[in-house]
Amino acid sequence: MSEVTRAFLDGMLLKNPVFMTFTGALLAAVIPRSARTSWAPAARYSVVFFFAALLGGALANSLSSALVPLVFVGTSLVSVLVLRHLGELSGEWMGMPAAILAIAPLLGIQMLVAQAGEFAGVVASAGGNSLGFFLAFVLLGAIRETSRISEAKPVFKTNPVVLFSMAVFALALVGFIFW
Amino acid sequence: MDGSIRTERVVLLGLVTLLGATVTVVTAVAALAISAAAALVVCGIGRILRPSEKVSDAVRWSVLLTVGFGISWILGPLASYVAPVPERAVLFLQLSGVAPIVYYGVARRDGAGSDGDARVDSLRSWVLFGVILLGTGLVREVFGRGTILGYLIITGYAIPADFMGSPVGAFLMAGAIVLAARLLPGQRIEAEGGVHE
Repeated sequence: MSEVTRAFLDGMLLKNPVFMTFTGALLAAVIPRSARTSWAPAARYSVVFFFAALLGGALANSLSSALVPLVFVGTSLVSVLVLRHLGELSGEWMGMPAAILAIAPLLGIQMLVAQAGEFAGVVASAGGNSLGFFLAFVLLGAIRETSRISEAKPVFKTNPVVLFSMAVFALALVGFIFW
Repeated sequence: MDGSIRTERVVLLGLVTLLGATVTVVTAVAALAISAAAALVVCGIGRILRPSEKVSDAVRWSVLLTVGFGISWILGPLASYVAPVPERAVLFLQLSGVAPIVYYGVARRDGAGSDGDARVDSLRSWVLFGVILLGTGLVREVFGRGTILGYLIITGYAIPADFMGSPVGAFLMAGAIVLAARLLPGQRIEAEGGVHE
C-alpha cells in the first residue's frame, strides 16, 4: 500500500476525526438531527474541512513554525465565515455563537493533516478526514433520529445513545490495520 | 437548572477535552489547568471587549477564540516537560483552549441579568467539569493501565482493560456520566431527552 493511500485510509478510519481523534466529536454529536436532513450539511462541512485542512496543512509545512498557529486560526475563522455563508452554524448554542462548535474540528484536522508531510500526503489525509467526518455526521444523525422516535424512556434518548454509539463505532474502527 | 441538565451540559461543553485528555490522571490535571488558564484570560478579555456598537460580535468572538487557542497552543507542549503526558494527548491539550467550556463564563455573563449570577453558575460548572475530568482520568487510568499517577496498583493476575485507554473507553465514560446524571432520582428529563440545545 502506498503512503498516499495509507494517509487517506488513516484519515478516514484509524484517525477518523469524530470517533478516533475526537476533534469533530462535539459537532457531529449535537448538530445532525436526522439522516435525511444531514446529507447536505455534512457535505458542506466536509468540503470546507477539506479545503481548510489542505490550506492549513500545506502552509504549516512550508512556513516558519512561529506562524503555524496563526495560519491555523486564520484558516479556521475564514472557514467558519464560509460555513455561515453556506447557511450552517447560524444562531447560538448554549448561549454562545454556534460557530464555536466548528473551531475545534477545523483546528484539529489542520494539525493532524499537517503531520502527513509531503503535499500528496496532505491532500490524501485531508480527503480521508473530510470523508470520515461526512460519514460520521450522517450516521450520528440517523442514530439521533432513531433514538428520538423510539419508544424508550426519555432518560435513555439522544445524548447517551449517541455517545454509546460513538463508542461502538470507535470499537469497530480500532480493528482496522493497514500495512 | 437541575443537576442532570448541568452535568450533561458540562459534558457537552468540554467534550473534546474530556474524550482526548483523560487517558491518565496527569493528563486530566494538565488539561484542567490549561483550560482554566485559558478561561481566566478569555473572561478578562471578554470583560474588556464587551458587546458594543464599536466591536461587532464576530470580531469579539474571533479575538476570544484566538486568545484561547494561543494559550493552549503554548501551554500544551509545555505540559509534557512538567509531567509525563502521553504524546497523543498533547494535541488535545493544545485544543483545550477552544473547548466551549472555556467561553461559557463569557457567554453566561452576556446572557445573564447580573454578573453575580453568571459568576456563580460558571464557577459551579467549572467545579463540576473539574470533578468529571479528574474522575474520568482516574477511572480510565486505573482500568486502562492498572496505575494511579503512573504507579502500578494492579498486580498478580489482574490484566488492565486496554480499551479503557482507547477512544472506546473515552466515549463509554462520557455516555455513562450523562446517563448516570439523568438516572439520579428526582431529575426531570424533557420528552425528547437531553439538554436544551
